[in-house]
Amino acid sequence: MADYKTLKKAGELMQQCMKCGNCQAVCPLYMETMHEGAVARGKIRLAVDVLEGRLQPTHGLLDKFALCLTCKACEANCPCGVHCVDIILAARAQMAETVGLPMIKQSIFKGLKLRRMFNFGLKTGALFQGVALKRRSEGKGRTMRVSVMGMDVRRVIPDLATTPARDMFEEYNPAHSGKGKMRAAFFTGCVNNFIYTDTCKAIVEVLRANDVDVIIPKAQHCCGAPVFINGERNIGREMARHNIDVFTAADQKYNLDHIFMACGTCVCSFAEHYPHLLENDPEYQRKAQVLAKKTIDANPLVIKAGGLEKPMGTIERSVTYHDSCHLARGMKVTAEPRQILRSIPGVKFYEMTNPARCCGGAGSFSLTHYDLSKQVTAKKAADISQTGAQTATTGCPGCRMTIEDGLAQANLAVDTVHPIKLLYESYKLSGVIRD
Amino acid sequence: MSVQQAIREMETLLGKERVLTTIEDLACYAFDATADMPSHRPDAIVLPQTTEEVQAIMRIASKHKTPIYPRGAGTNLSGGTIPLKGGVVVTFQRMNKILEIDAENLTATVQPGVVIQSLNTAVAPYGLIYPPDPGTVSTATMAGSTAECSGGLRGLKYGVTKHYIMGLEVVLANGEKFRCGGKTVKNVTAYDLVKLFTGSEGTLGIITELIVKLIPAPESRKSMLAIFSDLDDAGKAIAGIISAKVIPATLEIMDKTTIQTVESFSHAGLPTDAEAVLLIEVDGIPEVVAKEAESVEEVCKRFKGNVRVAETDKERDQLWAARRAALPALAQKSPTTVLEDATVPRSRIPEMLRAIRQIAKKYDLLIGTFGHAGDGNLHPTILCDERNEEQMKRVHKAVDEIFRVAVDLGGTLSGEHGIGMAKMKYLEWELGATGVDVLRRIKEALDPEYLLNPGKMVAGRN
Repeated sequence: MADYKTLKKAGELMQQCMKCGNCQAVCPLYMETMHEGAVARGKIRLAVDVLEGRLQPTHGLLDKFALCLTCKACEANCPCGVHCVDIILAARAQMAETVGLPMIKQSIFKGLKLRRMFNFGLKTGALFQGVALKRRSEGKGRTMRVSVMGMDVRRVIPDLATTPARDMFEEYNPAHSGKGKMRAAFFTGCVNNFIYTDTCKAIVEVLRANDVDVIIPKAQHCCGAPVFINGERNIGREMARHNIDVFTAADQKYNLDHIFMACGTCVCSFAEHYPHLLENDPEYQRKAQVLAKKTIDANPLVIKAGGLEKPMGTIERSVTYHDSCHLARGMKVTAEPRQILRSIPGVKFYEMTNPARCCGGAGSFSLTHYDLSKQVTAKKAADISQTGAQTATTGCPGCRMTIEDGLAQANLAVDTVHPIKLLYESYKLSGVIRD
Repeated sequence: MSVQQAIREMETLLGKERVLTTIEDLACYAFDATADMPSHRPDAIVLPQTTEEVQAIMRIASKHKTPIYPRGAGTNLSGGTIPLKGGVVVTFQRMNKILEIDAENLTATVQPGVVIQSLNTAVAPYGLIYPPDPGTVSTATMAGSTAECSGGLRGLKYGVTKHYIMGLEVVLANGEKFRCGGKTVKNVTAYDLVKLFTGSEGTLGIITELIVKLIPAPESRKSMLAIFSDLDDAGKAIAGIISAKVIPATLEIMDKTTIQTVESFSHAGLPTDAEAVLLIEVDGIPEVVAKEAESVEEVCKRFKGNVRVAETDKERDQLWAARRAALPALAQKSPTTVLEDATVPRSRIPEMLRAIRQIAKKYDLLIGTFGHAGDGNLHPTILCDERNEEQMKRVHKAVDEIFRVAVDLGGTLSGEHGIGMAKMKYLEWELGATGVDVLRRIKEALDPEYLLNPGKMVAGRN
């Protein structure tokens, strides 16, 4: 029998599953498909079958393991505390190692590894997006004229920024007071850097207004989650090592108190995945652990820096908040964004039903399984709509992009921003931040 | 092969999209929630959407003598849905509509695949509940829990699934369908066929529609926890509560092993030197609840119980968190959790608990017991590792003895999980050879070819 080293490591985790099926109650994909293979219990059985020689690794099996949003809802509802997502990611990695990923994914992931090429591509893309994409007659964003990289032409995609966020700032951005009490480095992540530059600007300025020196290392690159979550761990490791080098150097140079992110998935990469991915590389694992300890989401960091004690202007607006899976169940950040929103004068906060249910995006899942993803997103759009809120906030740009598509598909005129963007606007009204 | 021919005909009937045959799909339906059971892949999984399709599936199956396994959410604990002899799994998740809520007659009419919790959510605005609440209430389906006759925490006061099934539409092995029962409280027309099919574990026919009884939701409730340092005192308190003319909605017990495991797992504040803990909830009209809670407290104190009463919802949740943690806490201690449901008359509970303790000692096993003391339904939970062959031999011997004792104490093999394939071999202990033969004759009258869920409950003649 073949020796499935990668999968074997998760073998003990699989034994903890008692097959009770409680994961069915919360799995967004089970809710849509009602298929045992879509829910954690079924996929864990498949993994056990592979380990015990009853199933051969095939692309069909890889397709089954691909049916997971990695939203961790199953883990939160599991009476036995099984780390279902770790098992599924190990199975994807094993399948990728044994039978290989489909060509299209392989070439995308290889491309993603090349930082300069990737940056150049997206900057160029921003200049030419009008050619491939048509502006929608109403609302924000664009739809494609023809399908690119397997993306569904119905999908509404946001505009690429002509100036990416990291190009808007220096490496070293001192506190506005000139008297920094804390030093924090910003890992922007791709989506924030190339699309939601408003989020980046708001967070950097809010932190600077609270006596934080913000460092933006220029050589940072995609965290690699899209690659290793799909099972391509070797390229994932290379990307992890690159970012670890960049931020370790920044730490040595600036003596960082924190490394922060404004993306649920990126923050989990540093806090959770890097040390795990590099377990066979003691030197890098040690470095990864140092960085992991300093890693924090932007919402708690702003509160920690005293961001809620500054004078704030009134923003009359009804607001709701969507919990990113990785932020809520990965990083346990749920209270802080709500605390920020509730502390802004004039903001009326409305909780939606199931705020922590996955939006359906799950990174490249929405590219490979657009119809299924769209069904899950439609539920989220309906939940948002039911609150009657004018603005939907979320701490994750991946969720934001998905939700914007969902709202557009449902013809709902709801604005979407990061919670700290509202705090930034409130600071501007009170004069804490001046343009 | 005729199975393959049957599958081809089912593809023509349902379309390829609703007949799953890849090896990866088959592997996902080879098991259910039961521990320590053989798994077996079916040859196909089919997803009907109407009763007519179920009839057509049965006609094809009987033409080709293909075994059929009806399946809801696959959450049963008796090996009831494992496709032991190959053939076709019929899964009902696409027949999941609530057809009617009739508040005047206090009934709901549902399709088989409706999840129990969905029905409760739908009837809540009418101030009604569907009381059966097995641990799988948020996943199990209506027909699945009816076929298994599930119980739950509220059995003592509210009964189990069979007390709430008023009418059924059933498809028989030959593809014919019929209806029995209905919306009337009184119905003594002919044999009680509704009860026959309830708990039949998919061996007599396929349930395709259900009329169920709803009741008004209780207005208020009160929970308390009583700690005992003597097992007999706990037993006396259980009897004493009933003697005081109080029927609590729930009356749960946890033994010493369970208490210690829960405490080290969740630090719920349980004393680890206690011999037993009772968790009691009374519900109903506020005035009655207050009076009953007082009686229960008095009885527990009389038998040297240390009583904590939950004054707020938060305190209630804390008390119940300890009970809810019982199974997870035990399950996390070992890779395999063998969960049984031996049931005895409530007056014999202390004897049963002591017998389980002796069995644990005899076979050198860790067995935590918790369960529904009020209705005598205990869950001896054996912590083991199915990869350890020598240990599993001891586990099987211990299980045999647990059921022997339960039957000897005037109890039953299954309080709520059903017989399935897990407990077939014990049936004669309870029913005798003649009783088992009655099962066989009923089975053969309705399904002479043993096409419906073969290998479960009723063994064939050979």
